[in-house]
Amino acid sequence: MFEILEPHALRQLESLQLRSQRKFLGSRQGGNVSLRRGHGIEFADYRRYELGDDPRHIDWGVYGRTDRLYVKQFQEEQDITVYCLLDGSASMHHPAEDRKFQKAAELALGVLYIALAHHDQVSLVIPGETVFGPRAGVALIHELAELCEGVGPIAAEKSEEGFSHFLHTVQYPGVCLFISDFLFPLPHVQHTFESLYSNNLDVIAIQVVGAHDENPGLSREEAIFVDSETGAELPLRWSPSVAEEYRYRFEVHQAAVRELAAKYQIRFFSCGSAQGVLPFFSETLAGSGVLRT
Amino acid sequence: MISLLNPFLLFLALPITGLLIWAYRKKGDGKRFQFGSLFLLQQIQERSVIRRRFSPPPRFFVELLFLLLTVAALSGVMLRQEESVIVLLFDNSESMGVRRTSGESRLEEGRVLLTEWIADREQRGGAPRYRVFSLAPQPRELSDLPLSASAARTVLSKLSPVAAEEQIEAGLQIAARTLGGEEVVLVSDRAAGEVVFSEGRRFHHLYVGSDTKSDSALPKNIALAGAEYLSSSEAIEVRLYVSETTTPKFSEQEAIVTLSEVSEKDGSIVLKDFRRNRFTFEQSGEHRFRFKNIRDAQSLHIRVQYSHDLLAADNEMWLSIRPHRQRIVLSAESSAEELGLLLGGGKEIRRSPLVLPLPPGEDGSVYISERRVVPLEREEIPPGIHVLPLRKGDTVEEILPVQAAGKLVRAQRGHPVLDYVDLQVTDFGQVSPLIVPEWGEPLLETEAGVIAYIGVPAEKPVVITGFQLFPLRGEATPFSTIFFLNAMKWITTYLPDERKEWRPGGPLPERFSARQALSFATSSDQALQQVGERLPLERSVLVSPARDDVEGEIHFFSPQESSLSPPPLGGQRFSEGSAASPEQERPLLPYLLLLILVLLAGDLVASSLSLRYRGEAA
Repeated sequence: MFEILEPHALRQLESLQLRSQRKFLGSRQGGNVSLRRGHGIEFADYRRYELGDDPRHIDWGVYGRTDRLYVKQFQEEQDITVYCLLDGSASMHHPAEDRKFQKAAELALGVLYIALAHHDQVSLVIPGETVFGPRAGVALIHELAELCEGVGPIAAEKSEEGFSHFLHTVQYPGVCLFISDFLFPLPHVQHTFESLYSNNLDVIAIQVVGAHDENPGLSREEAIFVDSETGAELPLRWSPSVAEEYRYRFEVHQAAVRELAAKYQIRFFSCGSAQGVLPFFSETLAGSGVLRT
Repeated sequence: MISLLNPFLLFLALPITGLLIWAYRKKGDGKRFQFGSLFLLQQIQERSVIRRRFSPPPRFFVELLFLLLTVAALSGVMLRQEESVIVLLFDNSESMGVRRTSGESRLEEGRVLLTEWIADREQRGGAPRYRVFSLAPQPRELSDLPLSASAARTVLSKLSPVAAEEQIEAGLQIAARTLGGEEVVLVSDRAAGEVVFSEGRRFHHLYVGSDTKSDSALPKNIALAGAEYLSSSEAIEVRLYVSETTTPKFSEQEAIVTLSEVSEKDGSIVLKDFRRNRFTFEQSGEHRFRFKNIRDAQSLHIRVQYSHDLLAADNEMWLSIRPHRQRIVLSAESSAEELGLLLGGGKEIRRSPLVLPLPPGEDGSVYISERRVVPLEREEIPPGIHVLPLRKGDTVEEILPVQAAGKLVRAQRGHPVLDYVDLQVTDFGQVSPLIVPEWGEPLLETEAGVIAYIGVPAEKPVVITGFQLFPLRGEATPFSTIFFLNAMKWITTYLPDERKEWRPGGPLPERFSARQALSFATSSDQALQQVGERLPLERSVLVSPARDDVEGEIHFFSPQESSLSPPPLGGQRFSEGSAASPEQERPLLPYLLLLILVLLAGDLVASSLSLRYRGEAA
């Protein structure tokens, strides 16, 4: 059971709204400013009156000043499509005590609920496991929660195939929430960001960082380190110096991922696995403008 | 003492041990730590990778032991005690296949003798090992290693005679050179030559042969010894030879002699029985009786039937009764060249001016003119088979090219009486002396002469013409005559009908009509020829030069008596010209072990391979 689906949490989420950096053409009426000009609240521009225009849109004040007929144009508000890419690879499930995938799922469900509450269409994709939507309707949140439950570690190859399949099946541009630990080589991170960017998506990347990702907390010992995703083995003597260097390289990797995100105009956030979801929404995401109250 | 069958396979132990150590080093000691993603650690691998001491788990030693044992098994490692080695030389030549009247062959007798000798030797203790050699076609050891007594007996049981001469001297020399051979045992029906063995070695000769056992009982056999036409009394006197004296039952003392008239109808031979007599015998030896009221100028077929006869091949006879006392088939003026007898290895045959006298006996005997022919080199034609080419026309204008027919084969293994010559592989001009055991001679006395011809023109069918019987003149019939008789008998009996394209007694088919047919036979000092006439009525046959129809089995006797594929004398039968060899029975175990080894090595390697990272190029 996800805490984010508690009634009080949902009420808080309903007060938030997802903001996109870019404007998209929606398919129906919604709460997001669209590229389409038409009926709306937000003034967009003036245009010379043409035969057939509704006389009610004529700005008579301008006519009085210029003796010419102009009509006011407004930005139409339409829905958007919110894609949520939830990384279900083995590293998201390891170590189990970090509960990284659980945290990532709660983040995904929170954002998706916010979108559903504002009549946007949502799509949940767990590469290699699940492809859902795009569909709209608040009631879908429980179906989405069920999809997130019971997801086990997904093989690296399968996850890659799922991601490629997602890129090929994106129909509508929109907001893409990409939740992962981003613990894979930088070239692949770059490839992922570049692919999402080239699909005309407004990408929001949220990195879920487990406590053991930053500090494995190993004692001084020799062991065979086994990659949870590939099964590759590496005999290594763990020592403070190795631990320090690992932390250094982890930070370097984090910085590099952020830099890549900035390069592809991706809003990048880190969320600790022990961090609360609602505070992360209300403070981090709302504070950065991703969400608005 | 440790010995190895394949010592070079021991070198496998090194790479296998190395492979196992590498696999375990790669695999580590089993303490593993699951890590989310290793790519960050791999970046610092160079400096912190473990340089550990190799301390494999106990399982490593178990696996190493298993692999080394597998390699040892592949190498054929054997542990044996120091022991005495006895060299067994066993004669498996063709003569060892000769059977006694009791049905036991010399080879079987020698095997029994040797087995008894081995048993006696075992009782004396010491558990010696045996090195078994066969002596034909070349001396060869039948096992890679010295054998135990039971294994030696097993190897010996698989020996069968091969169509080759034994090499006793070579075998003894090998035995003399064989290290560890303290005793040498030779089993043969031939005498051993002079071989000097080093001191301390003992030589035993287990002799098997006709003089080692008395042949008290001859096989039951009745044969037509001869038939003569008595023109004065218009009767045929038939001579029968009975080989066995004692018969337990009266019913076994009775045979039936049938006289048939031979005629040609629609191109085929027709036998019409017109006389049948019961013949009772009480003693062995020759018996005579007559068929009366037999007119001349006809061809007859005589056969004797006896239910317990062991040799059916000598039970029939063809008889041509001519109205004239002497029938000159060959003109006295004909030259040898005209007869087409010039070919064949420089043996020029010339007709002799000497006319042999008629055989003594009754007036009107069945007799065909005969001329002595001798080679120009004054070399007598030895008894045997002489194969001559066909000719075109009446003169020697063109000699048809002849096709080499192959080599002489004496391969009638296990036949109780006779060796034989394979007509299909008999060369032109070849003389094939037949070896007949002494005790088989009485049976051979019973047959008559024969005229036969065998020619193999190139790209033309083989033509084997008929034969003509003539009675004996009180002397031993040449073996070649017996051979020819039985050869023709078999061919005419067992060849498929569709191959009998040339109707006996008639002219040659059109495609052969331009060719003159010859008949030719030899005995020890005479030749019988027939030129330019229709062949005798008796039997003729045309067979294909491809030899496919008679290649498989050639029975000059009845198939039951002389199958080319006799049942093995004991145990496995080996191909002709080879002897039993353990190499032919190599067990599958080493190959299975090798397969296990490969699979295990593959598994070790596969388990040590690293998979690629997510996102890395494959």
